[in-house]
Amino acid sequence: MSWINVGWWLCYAFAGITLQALMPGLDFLLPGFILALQERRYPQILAVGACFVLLQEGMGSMAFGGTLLWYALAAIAFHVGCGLLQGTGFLFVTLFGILLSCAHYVVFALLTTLQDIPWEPSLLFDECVFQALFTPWVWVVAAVLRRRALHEDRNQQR
Amino acid sequence: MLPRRVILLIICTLLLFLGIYTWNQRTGQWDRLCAAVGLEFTGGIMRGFATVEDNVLGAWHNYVDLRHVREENKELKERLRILEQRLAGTREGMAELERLRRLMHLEYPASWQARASRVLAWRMGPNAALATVMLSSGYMNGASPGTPVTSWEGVVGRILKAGPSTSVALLLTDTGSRVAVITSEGRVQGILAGGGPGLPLELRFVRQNAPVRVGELLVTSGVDSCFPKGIPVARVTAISTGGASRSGASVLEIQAEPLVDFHRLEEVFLLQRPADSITPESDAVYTRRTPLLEKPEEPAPEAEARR
Repeated sequence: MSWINVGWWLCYAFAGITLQALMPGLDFLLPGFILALQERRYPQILAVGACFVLLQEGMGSMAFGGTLLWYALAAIAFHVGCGLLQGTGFLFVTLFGILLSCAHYVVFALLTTLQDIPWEPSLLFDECVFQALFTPWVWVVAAVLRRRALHEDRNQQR
Repeated sequence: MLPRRVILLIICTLLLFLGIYTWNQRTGQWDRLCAAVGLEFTGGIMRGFATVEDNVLGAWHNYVDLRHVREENKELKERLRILEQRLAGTREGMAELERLRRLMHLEYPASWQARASRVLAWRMGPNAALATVMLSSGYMNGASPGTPVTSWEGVVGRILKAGPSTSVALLLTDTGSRVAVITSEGRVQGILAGGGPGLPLELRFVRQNAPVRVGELLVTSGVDSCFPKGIPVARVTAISTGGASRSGASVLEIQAEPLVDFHRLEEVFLLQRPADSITPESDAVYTRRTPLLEKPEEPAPEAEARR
């Protein structure tokens, strides 16, 4: 993993956290995890996934586990989805975003019930809808920026 | 991938998750790790933003303020003169209060230490199930779980979890928040529970004929061993009869609104129990004058001499 790659992920995490501070309840690190899944480099998937899980669990207010389960389901769903559709297209990411938003609703409801935390279904539904809407567009922007960064990295290595 | 293998993978993932989740519930290791790493990293980023915001907004405000500074200075000097006159009068009153307390054998409130902390962010991320704020103090700065959080208006909440220099505080309005309170006039005790976002607080376990009135102030009673006694919390907004507790006893249904405006919250105080205090009953705080925030002042020399 080159320094530019590490720097890119740090910048992405920085931007994602900033956006999350502006829009409560949404996960802006998830599109980055989808990007990592699409690159199919397993050490990178593990490193990025672990860091993002730690960040989300750290800034959240529930006991550990929600993001871990959600991201694990995302990884499984991605591998299953790649057998049905091309895993790098906008349509795929849009459908994937909708699926993950539904998964988020279920995981959140499950964990709040396990931890005996009262939750508001309408608020969670709204957050899931926004998550499904934002995920593909954040992914598009991140993919374009990443392609440029890695392109420059490769040029420098040559 | 075969469906059977996918189902097997999902089942294995769920089992692994339940194992990790249960282990964490018992030991709290993952929560501590996440608070130390994830919360700290997020806090660092938000602290950077707060610094930039301070500098940019500060420069802008300085420019704007300079335009009115002369008139304001004149007005402030006049107000200062009036306040100094009032202070002189209050000093006598304070000395008298001190004497009366001694007559009644009441100790002055134990000196809870107050540390200022800045609000860095509100609820963040997909795991933000509770109404919380992120603060710029961690366990290295006195913010351990359960630490009371107040502002100059009243109680804000208490610390939920803490990293080394960043923490998350549960707000009074969250449905999981409970504070033991007492009405300021009727001295009726109850438990103040959060109602959720945008909803009023609920005062529970108050018997039907209790002397509570609309507009009355609710202050901490100190019996929950968390908050010192006497900090303003909320104001009663509605009372209705006909409620019943789980045991079937008749109780009043009382709604209250928090004194703190959470939307404008920027700085808070973390209250720390002094090392020598033993029970919450010894931590009486009688007035809102503050004084949870500083040590009691010595009585004015002239009053002392007169005594």
